[in-house]
Amino acid sequence: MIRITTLGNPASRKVLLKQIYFTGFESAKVIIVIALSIGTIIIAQSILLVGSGNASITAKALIWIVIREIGPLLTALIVIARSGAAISTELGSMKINGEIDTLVGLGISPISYLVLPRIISGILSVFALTIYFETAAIMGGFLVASIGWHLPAEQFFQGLYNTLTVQQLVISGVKSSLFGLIITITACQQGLSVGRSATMIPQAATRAVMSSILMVFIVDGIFAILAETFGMN
Amino acid sequence: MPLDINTSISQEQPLLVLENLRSDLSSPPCSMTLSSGQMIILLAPKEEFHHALMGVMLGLNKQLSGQISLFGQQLFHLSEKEACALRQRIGSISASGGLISNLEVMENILLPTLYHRGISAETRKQATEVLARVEYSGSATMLSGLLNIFHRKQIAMARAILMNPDLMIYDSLIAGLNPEESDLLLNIAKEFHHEKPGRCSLFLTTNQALPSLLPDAINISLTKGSLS
Repeated sequence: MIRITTLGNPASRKVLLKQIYFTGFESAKVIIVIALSIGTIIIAQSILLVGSGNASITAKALIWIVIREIGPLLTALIVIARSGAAISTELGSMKINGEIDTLVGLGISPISYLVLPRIISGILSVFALTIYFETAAIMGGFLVASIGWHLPAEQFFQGLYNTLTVQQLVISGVKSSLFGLIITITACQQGLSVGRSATMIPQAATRAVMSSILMVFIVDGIFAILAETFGMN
Repeated sequence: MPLDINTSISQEQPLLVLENLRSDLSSPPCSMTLSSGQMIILLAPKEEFHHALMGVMLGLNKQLSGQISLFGQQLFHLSEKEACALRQRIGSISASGGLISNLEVMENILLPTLYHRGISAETRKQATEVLARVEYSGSATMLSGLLNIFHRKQIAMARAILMNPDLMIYDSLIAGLNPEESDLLLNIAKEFHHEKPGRCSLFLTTNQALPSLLPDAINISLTKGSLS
C-alpha cells in the first residue's frame, strides 16, 4: 500500500523535486505558448461570431471553453506526450537494466522511491500547469483582442468577473489533479510492466500514452455529465 | 571510514544457510552454510546459475525448491518491511556494478544511506573518503550510465562500504577486468572483510583462477552438488 508518509524520506523527496522540475517547470514554456495561441483562436472565432462590440460575450466564451474544458484537457494531453512517455520509457529502461532489482537489493522500495514521487509530482504539476494555461489563454486572448479589434478592457473583464465562478475553478482544479494522477499511474504501471526485451520499452511508452489519453477523455466526459446532472455550470 | 552502525553479528548463528536450494530448473541443488567471519568462493559452472542464486539470496526471485535462511530468518516468510531491513545488512556487487544510471556517481554512493538513514555533512565526507579508498579516478558528478565496468564496480564497492554491511555478496567481481583492476578490487574486498568482526564475504564466480587470488577463502564448487 502506498503511504504518503514515505515522502518524508529524503531520497524520495529528492526524486519528487526533480520530477516537479521536469514536469511542472520544464513544460511551462510549451504550455504557455500553446495557451496563448488557443486564447487567440478562441477570441478571434468569438469576435467573428458575435462581433467586436460584444466584449462581455467574448469573455464568457473564453471562460467557458478554457476553464471548463480546454485548460485541463490540453494541459493533460501535453503532459501525456511529454512526461507520460518519458516516465514509462525511463522506468522500462531501469527494469531492463536490472536497476529496479538493484533498488530492491539495497532495501529501497521502488514504489516509495520511484512511483510515489512521480505520482505526487504529476498531480501537483498538472494542477499548476493548468493554472498557467488558463491564465495565459485568457491574458493572451485579451491582448490580441484589445490590440487587433480594440476590444474594451472594462467590458471584457466585467464579462470575466460575471462568468467566472469559484465552482468552475474548483472543478478545473479537481479535474486537472485527477488527470495528473491518471497520467502518472498509467505511465509508471506501463513502465514497470516491461519484461526483458528492449522492444518492450517503446511498446510500453505507446501503451502509456494511448491508455492515458483514453482515460483522460473518459474522465473528462464523466465530469461533463456530472456537472450537467448536478447543475454545476 | 564506513559508518558506524549498531548491528552485531551473532558468532553462533550462521549468516546464510542454503538447503538443497535450486534457483532455476537447470541448476544443481545447493547446500551451504556461511558462518560468522567466513569468506567463501562459490564456483558455478555457468554465470546464470550464480546470477539466479544472487537474485534468490536478495529476495528478488523465489527459489524453485529448498530453503534459504539469512541471519537466522527465512527470507520468503518475511514481510516487505522486514525483508527491507534485512537487505540493509547485505552489501551486493552485481556483475554489471548495479548502479542507477540516471544518478551521478556521488548520488549512487549516497543513495542507500540517504534512503535508510539520511545524510549529514559527515556522511558526505565519508563518501568522499570511500571514493578515494576504492581509487576511483573519474568525476564524482558523472552520470553512472557513462562509466566503464571497472568504474561501475568501484562505485558499487564504495556504496557497499559506506553502508557497512554484515554480509558481502560479490557476483563475478573480476569479470571483464584486467589483472591490475582485479587485484585492486580483490584487495579492497579482503581488507573490508576483516574490518568488522564476523563479517562474511561470498564470492560467486565461474572464474577457476579466483581461488588462487583469494587463498584465505573456502572454495565450494556448485557442480559437485551438495556442498557444506
